[in-house]
Amino acid sequence: MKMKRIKIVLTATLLSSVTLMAMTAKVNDANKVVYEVLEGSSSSVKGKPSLNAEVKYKSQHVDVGVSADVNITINTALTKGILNVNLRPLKENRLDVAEKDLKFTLRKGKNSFPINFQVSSQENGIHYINLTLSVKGEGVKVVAIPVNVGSVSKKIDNKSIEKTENGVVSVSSAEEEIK
Amino acid sequence: MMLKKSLLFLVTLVFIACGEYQDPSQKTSIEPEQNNSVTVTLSGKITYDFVPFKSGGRAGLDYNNISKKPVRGVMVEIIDRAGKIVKKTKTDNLGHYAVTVTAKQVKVRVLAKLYQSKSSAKASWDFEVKDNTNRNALYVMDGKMANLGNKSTQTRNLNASSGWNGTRYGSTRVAAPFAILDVIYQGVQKVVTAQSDAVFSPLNVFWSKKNIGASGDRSLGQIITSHYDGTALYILGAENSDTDEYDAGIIAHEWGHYYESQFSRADNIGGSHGVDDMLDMRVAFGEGFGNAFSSIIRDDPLYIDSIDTRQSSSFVVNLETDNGARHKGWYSEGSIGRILYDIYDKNEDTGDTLSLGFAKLHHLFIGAEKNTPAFTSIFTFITALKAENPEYASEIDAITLSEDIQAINDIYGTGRANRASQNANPLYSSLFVGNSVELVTNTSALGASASAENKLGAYNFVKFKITSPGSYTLSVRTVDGSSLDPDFFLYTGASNLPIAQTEEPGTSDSISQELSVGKYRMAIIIYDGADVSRVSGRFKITLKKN
Repeated sequence: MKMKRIKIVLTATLLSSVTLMAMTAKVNDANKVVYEVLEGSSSSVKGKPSLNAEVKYKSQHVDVGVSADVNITINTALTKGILNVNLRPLKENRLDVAEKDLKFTLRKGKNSFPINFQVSSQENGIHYINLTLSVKGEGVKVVAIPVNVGSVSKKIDNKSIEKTENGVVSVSSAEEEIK
Repeated sequence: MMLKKSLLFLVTLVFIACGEYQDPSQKTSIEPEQNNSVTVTLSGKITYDFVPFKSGGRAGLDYNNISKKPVRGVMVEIIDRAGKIVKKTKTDNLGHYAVTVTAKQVKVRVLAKLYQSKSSAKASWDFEVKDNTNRNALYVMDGKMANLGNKSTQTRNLNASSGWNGTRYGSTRVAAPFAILDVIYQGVQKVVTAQSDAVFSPLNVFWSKKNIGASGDRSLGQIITSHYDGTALYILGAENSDTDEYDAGIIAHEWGHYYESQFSRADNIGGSHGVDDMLDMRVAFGEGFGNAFSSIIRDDPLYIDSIDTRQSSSFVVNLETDNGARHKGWYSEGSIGRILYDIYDKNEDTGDTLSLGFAKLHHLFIGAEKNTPAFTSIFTFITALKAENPEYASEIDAITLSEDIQAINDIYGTGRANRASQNANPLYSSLFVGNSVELVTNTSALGASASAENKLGAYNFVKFKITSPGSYTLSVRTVDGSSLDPDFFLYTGASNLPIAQTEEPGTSDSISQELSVGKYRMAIIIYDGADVSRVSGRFKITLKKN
């Protein structure tokens, strides 16, 4: 079933945190089974230059059709400007969460921004919510929030693998001209 | 009758052997093998689809202007129908290869591998691009299994396609590993022109279309971001989110950290950082170096990161023109990057009349910077640069001054405080055996960021000399009655690994250790519970001989 995607823009200069329950169909899952809670952070490696902001997240691993709580916290040392946050499912129709554009006003003493919402999916597997953060003149950062739904296969794709004297190789075809 | 049946069976087998053959690397059947082996000079050009940025660099990748670029310096194998490698060679700097082959039917295999073996007075390297989501397999690209024909020469040109079908990556992104390698090839050539016998340790570069900005399992592509983890490079590849295989500035920046670890020393402690942050001087120099190195090896001041749906947006930093005026100084990676690039490049701009080139910088990195007794920073680098190039001292001072850094004359940044505003606390406190020194921490630059450990003022630095070997006790304790918890790391010589460290909870920490004659440096960090303290405190550091 093709999910209807609605792009919603929220511009609230006094926006300090967002709970997006109203944006998705909240399911009363008081008795839902949570297999695990994935936790992650964008700052655990020495990564490429980007926006000076860190994203920490938690997402529940639940069954197909069940709402998973997703909690995101954005921390930044920046104290001026507008923090733009675009949030969308990375692949259309996999997660029933609408694309959202959020804006947070940065000021001294206000540098931590929680975003909480629920998502669900009709498909087993690992799904991602793409989060793009930007502040004009300061840079951009992209983070993907994983949401595990139902059975998650970690099977490695062995297509086009050969064992050679160089070890294991992954083979692709070239465009070739022979003359 | 039996003989007739046997002959028929044998003929049938022969027909099967000479008939259609399924090469596992090919989607379609291949031609029947020719009858005779021939000796042929087999040659051609290997290229890959290169996707540039749209004009100005700010609107993402330009799939309407894909061009073919040579695949330079990679290994090429000629493989016969039985799967045997009959010849090996390498492409030249224009992507050409040529071998003499005696066979009936062969295919050309191009490996995503830059390789030069060790031999006297020559550089050596071994860089491979592998798929971390598929058994760490080395990427290779195969041509068709085809007859060599009946002439003395045959040309086989191979191209690695981008996989772009007009709206998305609809087929295998064969070009990606070769795009990554091309940047590394540039870096290797830049280093080798400065040091002809440079030896590069083998390095794996992991890329996959599944590599995404999530933390978790690397075999699923969850690599957090493009980075060098001290042993390997990991490069993002998830389309419509963040792909980096065509972002040469990012490849070069991360390879720059590998270069630093191979040839120099980096005391950079990592953590989240931005070009306008007020950073620990070690982080500022390490990340500023990465930004400058990225531009130096490409001779391009632009750092561009493509992101978003269809890779249609970019984040751009211009080392020459982005002043990042908010926090210029020795704690700014933006300032460090601009200084290093200005020292290198041929463009003259405000405050910059210097064009030293890379060889002089490389000489510093492998010598004075690597062996400095202080923590690596702009102070250690500029002090060594001026010592080795005294005729350029005034030009060097002019460049640092353009970034609000007063003339640097020693490796410890004497005359400066460990914070943006003046305070009684010098950048390095000096400690003497049998004495103590007090320091007052300043946490004003830490902000609310969760990654405060790498910000200016989080670590405080102390230096001392040992002139008589023996057992010593080094201690740090809180003296203002607070419950703040000091931890420290002790270093000496050219290593960026501590020789001792304390991380016990409590208001005091100490070590007792045998110390030999030499110079030592300490990095002290203060915790308030589990977090880096954002409250200032007063501490006493004591060194005594046991």
